[in-house]
Amino acid sequence: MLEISNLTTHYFQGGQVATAVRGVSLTLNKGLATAIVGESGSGKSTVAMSVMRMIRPPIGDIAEGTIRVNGTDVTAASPKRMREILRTSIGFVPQDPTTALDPLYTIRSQIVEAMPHVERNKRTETIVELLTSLGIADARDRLREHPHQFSGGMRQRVAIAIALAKEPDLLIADEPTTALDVTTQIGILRLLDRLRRERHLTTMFITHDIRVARLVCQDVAVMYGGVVVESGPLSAVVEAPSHPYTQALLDASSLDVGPRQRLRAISGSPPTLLSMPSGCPFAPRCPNATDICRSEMPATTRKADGSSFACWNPVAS
Amino acid sequence: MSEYILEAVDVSKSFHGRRGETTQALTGVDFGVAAGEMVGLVGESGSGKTTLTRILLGIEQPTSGTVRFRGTPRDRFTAEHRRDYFNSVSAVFQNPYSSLNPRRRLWDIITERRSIERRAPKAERRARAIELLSLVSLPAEYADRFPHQLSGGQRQRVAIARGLCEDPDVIVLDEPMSALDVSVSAQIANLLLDLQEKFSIGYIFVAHDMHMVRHLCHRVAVLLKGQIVEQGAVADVLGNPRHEYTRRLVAASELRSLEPEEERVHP
Amino acid sequence: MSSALESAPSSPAAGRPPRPWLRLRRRPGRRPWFSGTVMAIFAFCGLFGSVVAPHDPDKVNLSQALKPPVFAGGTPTYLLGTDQLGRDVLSRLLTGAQVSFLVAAGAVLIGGAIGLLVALLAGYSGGRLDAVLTRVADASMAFPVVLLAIVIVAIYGKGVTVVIAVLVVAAWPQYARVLRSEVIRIRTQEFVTMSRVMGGGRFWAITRHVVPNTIPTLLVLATLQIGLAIIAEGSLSFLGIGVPPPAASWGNMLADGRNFLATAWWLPVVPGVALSLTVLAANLFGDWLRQALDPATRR
Repeated sequence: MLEISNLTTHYFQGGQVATAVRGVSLTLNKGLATAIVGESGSGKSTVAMSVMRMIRPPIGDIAEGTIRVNGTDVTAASPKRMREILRTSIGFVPQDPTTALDPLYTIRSQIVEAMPHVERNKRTETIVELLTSLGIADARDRLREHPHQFSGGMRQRVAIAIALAKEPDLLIADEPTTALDVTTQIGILRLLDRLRRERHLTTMFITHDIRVARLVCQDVAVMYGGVVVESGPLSAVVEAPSHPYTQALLDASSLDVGPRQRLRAISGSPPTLLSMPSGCPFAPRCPNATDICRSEMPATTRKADGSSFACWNPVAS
Repeated sequence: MSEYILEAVDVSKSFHGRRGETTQALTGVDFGVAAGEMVGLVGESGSGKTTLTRILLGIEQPTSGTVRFRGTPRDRFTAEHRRDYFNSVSAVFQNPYSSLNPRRRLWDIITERRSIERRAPKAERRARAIELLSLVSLPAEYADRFPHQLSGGQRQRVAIARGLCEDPDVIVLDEPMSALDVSVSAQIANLLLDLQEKFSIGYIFVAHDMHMVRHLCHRVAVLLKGQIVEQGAVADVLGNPRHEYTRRLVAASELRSLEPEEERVHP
Repeated sequence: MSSALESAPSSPAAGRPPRPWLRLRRRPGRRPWFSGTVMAIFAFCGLFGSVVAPHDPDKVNLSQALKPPVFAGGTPTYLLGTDQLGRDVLSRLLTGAQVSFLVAAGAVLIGGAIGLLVALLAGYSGGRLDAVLTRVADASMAFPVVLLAIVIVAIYGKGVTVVIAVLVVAAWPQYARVLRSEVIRIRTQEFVTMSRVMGGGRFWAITRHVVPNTIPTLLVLATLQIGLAIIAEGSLSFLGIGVPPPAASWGNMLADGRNFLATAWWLPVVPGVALSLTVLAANLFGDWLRQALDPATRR
């Protein structure tokens, strides 16, 4: 459904070129949710922005690679064609629903904007149906309300409604629950999972929290320093991680060490865009790193369980 | 009761809005922290967590009730008490990007407290800053840097170093990990544990990550709509929650898969 | 999605940042040669213009009237020529710079100081005082400057002080309005809250945290105001309600020279060019200064 191959994306910062994504290849299977897990600066959001062609000069540029949405290469699409694709095929759920909705317009008019294909007299019906299915109980009465009259969780539901109004094939959700309260988060995660199953919606779920990814995703791609270090079926990757970074991430977020014991933390901090190491980006923090890790990028190795990783000295299983 | 170093006794707080309406932010809250203890404070946004910490820190005054420090109510502070209070009660805030003045060097930020009352000489402040930097595992040469030259995790270490400047007895930690990456927040958790062990500081840990609360805290208090609905040892409260809200909070954080429970539609 | 972006993104040149034909953001660390030099000359003339002037700027000498500048066939005695009364244009330009400098510095410093003070008062008090101060600023901004100038001149007569006073009245609300929202933004930042946790009072927070962080905004406003003040002095003098003749000011020189545009072009052009260069340099210099003072762009 979505095929990214060898994607390299740059940002231009004050006359310098910062490579945010380096040769990422990734396939999203139809009807499944794929988590892109990574820390800030890992390039996870840049991949999503590249798919939507939101990175263009003077901010940055896609330097290499192809991104196929339903067979169309969006990196080569004309602006007109790209608008068409964005209008009909890709839905986007932002991280912060507070700033993603325009405070000046009613809920109805913001959703209508995303559904030009629906006939005028059927629009209200369609919107009410959509909002009701998203868990907004008194949808019909709330159409004329403005975003500030909704709570955080409800706003996120409205944002999801906007993303779904165009009946997309691909849903990109960028940390959709990070800004919400714990108890509200679960509701949104359940909703996204149900939508995927009911509508066979291919979902790209961007998150920094591998625990959240485990709840809603079937596949995973772990990113670090602009590259995919490990990817494949989520259960396989979580149960037998091969890349030391995946291992470290799982260690850091699983608190099974007993109360008030030291967590297994990864020392150091992630590389910044302008100080990217030439070899494996994780080498400076990696317990297994050897000389070759610091000088050369490892190739991707496939495993029997369907997952693959890029590492010179993988975790012994 | 009086074993608490810092405590709120029957504290209520109401705010007056522009149109004359009153919102009750806190109602009859009793909450305190003892030496060497870590108390979690959990609740959804708008539950009054922030208001309570601001009252404990003296930024906000309670409408009724008192804040006691080493047994003395705040309104009966002498100048001596006041100095002791400001030296011994400290804080680390959530956002390491807005909690450091971008126009000051790190040594100046870390030892700001020493220039407020005593106007301590620069040499003394620099020396203290370097000590504190090493305490939070940052190299001494960072003393002359500006905040923007550091990563988020490093900035949070600087904020912690500033909190430690006068050897405090209590530090209010307002969601200190929520703006950090997973791999970095584990480092900060370890650092907080180390410092507590070394100096037996009392921590008030405001958090929304129940995993961290369960892992780090001795006790926990659950705030809902300005009231503490449950308070006690972590194992009791989170292991055997009595209040409906605590139950939901625990369930949400312990969820291993979405399948078994049906999606609940609630506003 | 303008048509300028329609070229394929994966051209061979991709990977190199685009070269904007007009670089709006200067690279940090580059020295402000042009604007720095012009500002230095302006400041020097503003302080010592009458000392270095080669002739008496007000001395009438009709036998030497309307001599062109030296580069247009004039004599080296009068480098920038003479006006219709035979007064040396260069000397008048130099002494006129003193008026412009005084007016610009006075209007910017006093106006900025009042504006910042009001902004701090309004931003920190909130409530009724804030509302009153904001309304006063609004009302002052709505009042026409020229009318104000005429009224003040009618009461106190002409003079540099009056020009400065008029410009201060016109300028302070602009500082106050913009800086008030800056003050409110900065005082709610966590580092200001933290200074209160450490026992720092309001005065401490204002002097250590709030004011230093308003500097970038203050500088942007001030550089715009330098330009505006110089131009406004010119306009007021041009209208005859500014600096009284025969004292030289750039505005007076422009006003007097406009009748000679066809016959003695240098009379309006010389002060005009000086004024434009100074205003342009003030803006560029302010941009540079703002970056130079910002730790995030300083190397």
